[in-house]
Amino acid sequence: MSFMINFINNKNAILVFQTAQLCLITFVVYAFSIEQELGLASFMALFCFFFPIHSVASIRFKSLIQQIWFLAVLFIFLSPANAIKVLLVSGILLSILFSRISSSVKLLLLSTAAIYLFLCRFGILYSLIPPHALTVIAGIFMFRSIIYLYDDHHGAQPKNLLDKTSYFFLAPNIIFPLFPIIDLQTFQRTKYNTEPSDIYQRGINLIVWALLCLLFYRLVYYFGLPDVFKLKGLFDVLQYLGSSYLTVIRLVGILSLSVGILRMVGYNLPEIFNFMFLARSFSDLFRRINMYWKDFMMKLVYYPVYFKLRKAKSAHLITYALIITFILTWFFHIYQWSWILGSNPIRGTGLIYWGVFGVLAILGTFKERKIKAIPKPTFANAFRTMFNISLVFIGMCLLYTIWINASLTVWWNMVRIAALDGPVVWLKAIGLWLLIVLTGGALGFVWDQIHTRVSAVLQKSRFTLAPVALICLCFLWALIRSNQKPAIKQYLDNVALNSNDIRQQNEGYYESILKADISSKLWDDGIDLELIKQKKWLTNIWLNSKDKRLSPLEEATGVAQQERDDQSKFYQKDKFLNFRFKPNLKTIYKGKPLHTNSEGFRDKEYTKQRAPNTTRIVLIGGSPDVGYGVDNDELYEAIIENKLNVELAQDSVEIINLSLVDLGLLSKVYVLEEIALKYKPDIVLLIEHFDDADRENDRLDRILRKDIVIYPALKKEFQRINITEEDIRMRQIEEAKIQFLISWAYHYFASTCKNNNIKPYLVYVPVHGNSSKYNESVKMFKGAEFEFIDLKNLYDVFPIDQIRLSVKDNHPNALGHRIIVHGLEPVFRNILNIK
Amino acid sequence: MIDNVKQKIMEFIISEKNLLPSDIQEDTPLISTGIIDSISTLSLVDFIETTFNIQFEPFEVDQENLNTVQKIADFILRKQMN
Repeated sequence: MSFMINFINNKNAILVFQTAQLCLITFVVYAFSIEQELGLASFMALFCFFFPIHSVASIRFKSLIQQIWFLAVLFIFLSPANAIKVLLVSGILLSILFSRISSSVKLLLLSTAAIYLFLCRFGILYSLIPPHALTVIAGIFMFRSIIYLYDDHHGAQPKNLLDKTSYFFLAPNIIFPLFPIIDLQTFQRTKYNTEPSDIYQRGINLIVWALLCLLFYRLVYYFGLPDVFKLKGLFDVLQYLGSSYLTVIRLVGILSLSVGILRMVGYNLPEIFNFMFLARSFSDLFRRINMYWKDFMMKLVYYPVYFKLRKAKSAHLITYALIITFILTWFFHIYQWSWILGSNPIRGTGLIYWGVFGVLAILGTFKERKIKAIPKPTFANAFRTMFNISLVFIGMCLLYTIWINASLTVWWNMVRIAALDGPVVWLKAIGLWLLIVLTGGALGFVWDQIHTRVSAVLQKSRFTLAPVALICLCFLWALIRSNQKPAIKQYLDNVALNSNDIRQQNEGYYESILKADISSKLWDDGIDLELIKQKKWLTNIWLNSKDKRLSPLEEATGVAQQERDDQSKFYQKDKFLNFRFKPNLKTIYKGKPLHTNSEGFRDKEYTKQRAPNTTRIVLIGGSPDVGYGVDNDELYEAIIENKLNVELAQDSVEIINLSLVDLGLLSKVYVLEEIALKYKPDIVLLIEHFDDADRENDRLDRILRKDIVIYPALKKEFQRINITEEDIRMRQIEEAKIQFLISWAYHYFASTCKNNNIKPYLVYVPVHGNSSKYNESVKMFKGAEFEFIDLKNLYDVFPIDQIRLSVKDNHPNALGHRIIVHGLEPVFRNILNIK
Repeated sequence: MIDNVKQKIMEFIISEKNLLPSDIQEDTPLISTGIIDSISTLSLVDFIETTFNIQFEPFEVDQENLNTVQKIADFILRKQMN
């Protein structure tokens, strides 16, 4: 014991101990691939280097070291060119903020700059600054400049220039665009306001808590969250509702991580969350969930509005102030996500969520005003509290799932599925709920009796909790590393998406619907793809990883080309197809140059009439075959065509690429009949990636949502097997019927080719992530007169990360396309009789 | 005089929140611990304004001025002197 006391009193020993904990945290982040999309492992590795230097430095150098840390992160995580751009823009904004001009002039100048940057972020104005660098600038200034202006107006700004810039240049903000709203007064007040080692340990403890939250989120994400379109009854629906709401814990993890890191550089910031799942009312929830946000709203909206209304002697002062506060809460939420995503995040379901939540929170506030007494710790009160907690939890589950679903129809369909279950199932569910309330009430009662003692024990053991948790996590990692079950491996590697996100990705990528929803792994898709790879490169250098493929130069050039996609910029409306590119496009698409011909396909111009001595091959595929995310000349079709034509002296071959984004099998039939036949091809290659039946249903649903007509041949089949549009929208088509349609499409495709003297080939090109439907799909075209070319084992020897675009995008990258060339070239040579 | 100010504030908080006199001391954090929330803060502001004849500005409603009884008393005296 005396050893421990001596140890804790020895500052150097504590510093070594805390640095060791930080190294262990970095290892856990790396081993569990925590927030690898944001490059957290690299960031923490760098912080392991800066923390001890910052800790031993005298107080007057600490701000300077903090700024050097910020610059190091900025230059390493962005390319040097982009880091300089960020610094230049930040310099302009800071010089306005720190200047001695009047507040109203500052406000005017800053608003003008913000509008300009906002238009650049949305791609409306051309900007030399790439979108992800704009997101970093937005992360730094979107809230803190408002708070600074407010405090500056009231004469409460820091005096020293380094202290002023320290408030803006916070290193974690570079990797976390979703960052806590740090209040300037709190920031200044809490700086080294107690023993440094205590502040650092509070930081470590919060970081470890954040890691536990993020690992729990992943558990829910992979194992708890069922596919919303595969819910079978009430208990499935309940699982979906509960799991969806629990995924908010990712927000707790990300924001707590940022606060924990800031504590480790001396800012003794308060807690940001207060066990939000234990909220007893909606107003209590508003207080517990992201308390920094609540304080921001109180300071800048609620109190000023209240005082203004009081001066005007308005009746119902508090009601009006609360209504305005909630409307502006919604507005600031939209404002924040617009900057992060660079697209409009306003959705009808979001409005419903915020509207209902606001009303419930206001009602809760008034109810609470009437209750003054703090309830005594009796079992009845504990039971009542648990009952209220359960009601708020259920309410939030319902509201939250409205918010995260793109349409109310999907949500309503889920409610209908639950309602279809009989009274016995409902009684079981009510029984389960009562059991949870009773058990929770009993636990709450016990907690009321012991919480003072437990808090004292926790306070005493504040230096040992985090190391114990970290060692346990290391053991857990070793334990699950040895388990090779795919689901467990997926949990550990964190590289796959769950079924809901795969669908959202399909919709999101193709329709530019990005989710302002932290529960999804896709929320940061809009930020940057190349940056992620760059971060991975950093991780590999520091932590001696396996992937050494990416060079900084490759990354830097990739970063420069990043551009946000905008549906209206690329797509034209088609009578029957979900997406068709605009004709004669010359643009950047998914960060790569994209040219289309006069028909709106990514290929060169071909005449309808075939030239003599020319073999004409039409290729009909989906987004991998459009060359999604690769350069025009990196696309496998272009490489093969060029290569063969060099070898063919007298004759020539034309490979006409009629592939389109989000082109399912059912739509490929239409492309064949209405477009391909006009080119009078000798051969048609139907490129298949074997999606599951659900995905065809998704595509049909998206077509109907856009009021696009189902083309006549398919419509006829719908009528024959009794499928209505309502069935599609409600995802109520029996799987057998979808399978029938897929089989019909294969047969119809092949027979149409035969009737037009065209030789049909069906080529299977796997795309990582959805090859599980292989056996099922092969049965579907049995009997159709295709020549089947099976490239099933194409990628077998390649690690997945080397051949796809990103962690969250399985489309083949340039190397993936070269591998397809390797697989397809012999097939073409065979068809064309070239040795 | 300051003791009188503190006494009145303590009495108000104890009655408003139904606390026991032993529950709060001069240096007990009020806002950061949640003893007084945003709505009760405004009741406290109204009470201070009417009792001590001072006027709050919106930006003065913060932890710096209101987090403990001691801080509230210091703030009141500062305002009265100004």
